[in-house]
Amino acid sequence: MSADKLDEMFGDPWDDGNPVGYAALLEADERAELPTDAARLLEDYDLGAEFVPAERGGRFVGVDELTAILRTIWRRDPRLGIAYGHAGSRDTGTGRRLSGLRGLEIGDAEPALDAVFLPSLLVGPLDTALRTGLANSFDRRLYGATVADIPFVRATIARAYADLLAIDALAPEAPGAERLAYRMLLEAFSCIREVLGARALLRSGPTAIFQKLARDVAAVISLRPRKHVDPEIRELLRPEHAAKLAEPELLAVRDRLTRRLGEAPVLTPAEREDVDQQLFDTAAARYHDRRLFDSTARRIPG
Amino acid sequence: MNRVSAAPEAVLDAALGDRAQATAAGATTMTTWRWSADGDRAEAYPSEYSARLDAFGLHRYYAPPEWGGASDDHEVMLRLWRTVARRDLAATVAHGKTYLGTAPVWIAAQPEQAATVAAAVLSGAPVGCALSEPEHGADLVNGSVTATAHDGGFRLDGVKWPINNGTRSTHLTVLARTADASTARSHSMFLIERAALPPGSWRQLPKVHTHGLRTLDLSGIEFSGARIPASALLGAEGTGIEIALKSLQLTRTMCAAMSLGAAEHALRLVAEPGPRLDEPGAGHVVARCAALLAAAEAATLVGARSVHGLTGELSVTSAVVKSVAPALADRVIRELAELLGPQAWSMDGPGLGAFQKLARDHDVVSVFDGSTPVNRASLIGQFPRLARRLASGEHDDDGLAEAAAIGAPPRRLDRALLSLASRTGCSVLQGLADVAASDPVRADPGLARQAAGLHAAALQLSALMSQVRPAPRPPMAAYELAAAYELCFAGAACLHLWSARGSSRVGEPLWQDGLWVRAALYALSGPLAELLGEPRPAPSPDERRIFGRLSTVILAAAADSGPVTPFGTAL
Repeated sequence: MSADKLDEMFGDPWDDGNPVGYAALLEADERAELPTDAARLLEDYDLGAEFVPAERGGRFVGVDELTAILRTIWRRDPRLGIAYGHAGSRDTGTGRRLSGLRGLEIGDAEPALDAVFLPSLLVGPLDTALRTGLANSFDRRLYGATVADIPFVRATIARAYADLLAIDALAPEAPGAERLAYRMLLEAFSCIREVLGARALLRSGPTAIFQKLARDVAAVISLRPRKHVDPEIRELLRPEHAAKLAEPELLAVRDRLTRRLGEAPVLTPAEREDVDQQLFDTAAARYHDRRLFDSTARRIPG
Repeated sequence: MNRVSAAPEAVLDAALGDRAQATAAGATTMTTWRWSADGDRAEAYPSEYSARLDAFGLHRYYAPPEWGGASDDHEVMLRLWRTVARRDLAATVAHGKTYLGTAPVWIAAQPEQAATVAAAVLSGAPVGCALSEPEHGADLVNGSVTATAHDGGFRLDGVKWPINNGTRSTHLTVLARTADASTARSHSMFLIERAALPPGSWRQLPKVHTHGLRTLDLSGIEFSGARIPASALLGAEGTGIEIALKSLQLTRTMCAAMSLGAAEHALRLVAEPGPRLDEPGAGHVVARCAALLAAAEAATLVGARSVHGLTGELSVTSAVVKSVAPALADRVIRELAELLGPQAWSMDGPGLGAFQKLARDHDVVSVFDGSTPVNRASLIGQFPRLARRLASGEHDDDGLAEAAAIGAPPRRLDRALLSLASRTGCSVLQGLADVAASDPVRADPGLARQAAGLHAAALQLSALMSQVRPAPRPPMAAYELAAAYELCFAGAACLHLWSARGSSRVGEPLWQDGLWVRAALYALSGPLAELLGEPRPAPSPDERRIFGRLSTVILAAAADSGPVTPFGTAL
C-alpha cells in the first residue's frame, strides 16, 4: 500500500459529493464529531499495518513512505491524523474541548504527539491551505484582473510556499527546530489568510476548509511544550533534503530562515523579487498540475 | 484619573458588570460575560448586549451634535468602544456598525435626509452600509449593483453582500452604479429605508456563517427592480465612491478600538495570577506584549484625535491606523497564545473560553472596512508626497498638538475638510524630528537615544519610499515599506503623547522614568529593522531592564484589575 493508494481511496477532496471530502469533513467539524466515513476508510485501509515493519508482516518500509501516507491524512483532517495516525493518543476521558480539533477531547495528560514527526506532518494541512489560497487567487477577479495577477498576492503566496519547503526540509532533531517550525507554519497560514481576505473567514463555500485547518493546527501546536532554544541556522536543514531543492527554492528557504532568526537577509531586494516570482510560478504550476507542494511533488486527486 | 471625560467609560464599564463575579465557578447570574460565551456558540445576535449598550446611550455617539447626537469627540467614542471590545469584540462590532452605516449621511446628506437618519439613530435603530459585493469586495469602482433612473426616481438591481446589520437595519446606505464606465465617478450613494421598498422587489440573503464574529447579523440583500425615490440620492450623482472613501477614513480610524480591546482582553487573561506565569521567560513575553499594546494605543488615540485636529490628513492616518493596530494586536494575541498553550484554545478555559473567542473575532478585524493590503496600497499611492515631507519634517504644528492633547475637548469635526489625498502628508510622523528634540524627550538620555534611532530609521525609510515608482499594482517591497511607515507612525505617536503628558503623570507606575514609552519603542524596533531589511538588534542590558520593570508593573496591575496601558482604565 502507499500514499498514492490511500489518496485514490479518499478521492477528490474538493468534490462536494465525496463522503470523505472537505464538505463532509467540515460538516462533521461543525457538529464537533469525528468524520465517520473517513474513519471507516482508514480502518478499511488498515492504517495500523503501516507502522509494523514488513519483516513482521506489516507494511512499514521507511520513514519517507510513512510520512507521505500520514500527510495524506493530515492534508484532509488533522483530527483523523491524531485519532488514527498513532501520532497521538485519543483520550475520551474527562477532557477539555478546544476550538480546534473539534470532536476530540484532549485529556489532561496531553496526547503523546511525536516531537520529531509532528512538524513534518503539519506540512499536510499547510499544503491544503496553500492550495485553497491559490485556487481562490486564480478563480477570483478584482480590479479588472485575477487576484493572482496582483504582485502582492504572488509574493505572499511565494513566501508561504517557501515556509512549507523550509518546514519540509528542517532537521527535526536540531535544537530549536520544532518551535521554529510551528512559528513558520502559523506565519504561512497568516500569509494565506491575507491573500484570501474575507474568504478566509467563511465557514461555507470553497475556502471554508482554511479556517478549520487554521483552528486545528493552532490547537495541535498548543499541545506541545513551549521551549526556548535559539536555533543555529547552519544545523537547521537536512543536507540530503536541501540538496534536492532547486536554486531559487533553496535561496528562498534560506532567506525566510535568516529573517525569522533576526539575521541579515541573504537576498537583496531585487533578488528577492526575482525569487518570489519564481517560487510563485512553481507553486502555481504544482497547483495546476495537481501535485503536492512538498519535495515529493506527488500527483494527487482533485 | 485626572481626566474629565474618563467618566463615560467608567459608567459604561460598570454597566457591563463585574467579570470576576460573573465567571466564578457556580455563578448563575445571566451576565454580559455569559451572554458572550453562549451567544458565540449559538451564533445568536447579541440582542441583550445591544440593549445594555443602548441603555447606556452608546447609540447617541453615532450621530453628530448638530443633529442631536453625542459624537463631538472621537477620542471619547474610541474609549467607549474599546471598553466594550475588551469584553466582547463581536457585540461592539454589531452595535458600532451604525456608525459606518450613517457616516455617508453626515458627509453628504441634505438637512431633511440627515434629520430622518438622526431620528432613527437616536431611537436606537440599526443602520447598515452596503458597499461590498460578492465578486468585488473592496474593489468599489467595479461594483455591479445598478441604480437606473426611472420614473423620476431610481430602480436598484443586483446583490450587496456581505452587509453587517444586513437583516436588522431599518436604513441602509447603498453604493450603486449610475454610469456604465468603471471610473471614480460612475457610482452614487443612496439612503434607503427598508420599510419603503416595494414588496417583492428585494430579497433578504441568509446569514453568513463565519469563523469569528459569529454572532453578527452578517447577511446580504438582492435588489430586483427595487424602486426608490429621487430623494434617496445622497450627495450629487457620481460622488458615491468619494463619499464611500471619506466615510471609510472615519470608520477605519475608529476600527482600531476593536484591536485595542481584543489585545487588552488577551493580556489580562494571561497576566492574571496563575501557574503559567512561572514558566521561564513568561514575564518577558507579557512585557513585550504590553509594550506592543501601548504602541497600538498611542497610534490609535492620536489617530482618533486626528479626526478633529488633522482632518485633511485622514487618507494617510486612517490607512496607517487601520493596518497597524490589528497587526500589533495580532502579534500580541499570537505571542500570548503560545504562552497559554492549550488553555488558549479551550472552550471552557479562563473567562468561559474567552481567549479562543477573542482570537477568532480579531482575525476579522484586519479584513473588514478595507483589509490591510487594501490600506497599504492606498498608502503606497501617496508615497511620493509622504517621502518628501518625511524627509523635510514640515508639519501642521497646531493640528498635531491637538491630536496629542489627550483628554482635551477637540475642535468640531468639519467633514468638508476630508480629502481623498492628504496635501500635507502626515504631520504625526513628519513631526518626529521636532518631538525627538523636545525637552521632555531630551530630559531622559535613554529615551533621547531611542528617539534619535527612530528618526534615523524614518529618514532611511523616506529614502526607500522615494524610490518606489507609482504603479497601479505596486511591488511587494512597497507593501513592506508601508508596514515600516506604520510602525514609525506608532513610535512617533508614543513620543508625541509622552512629550505632551509625561511630566503630569509621573506618579503612575507605567509613567515612571518613561517606562511605557521606552518599552514601546524597544518593542517596535525589532519588527521595524526586519522590514527595512536589517538584522534585528540584540537586546541591550537597558532593554532587558526596561522589560523586567514593565513585567512587574503589568502583572501587579492585572492582579487587581488596574489599567494595563498608559491611557487605559481599570476593569
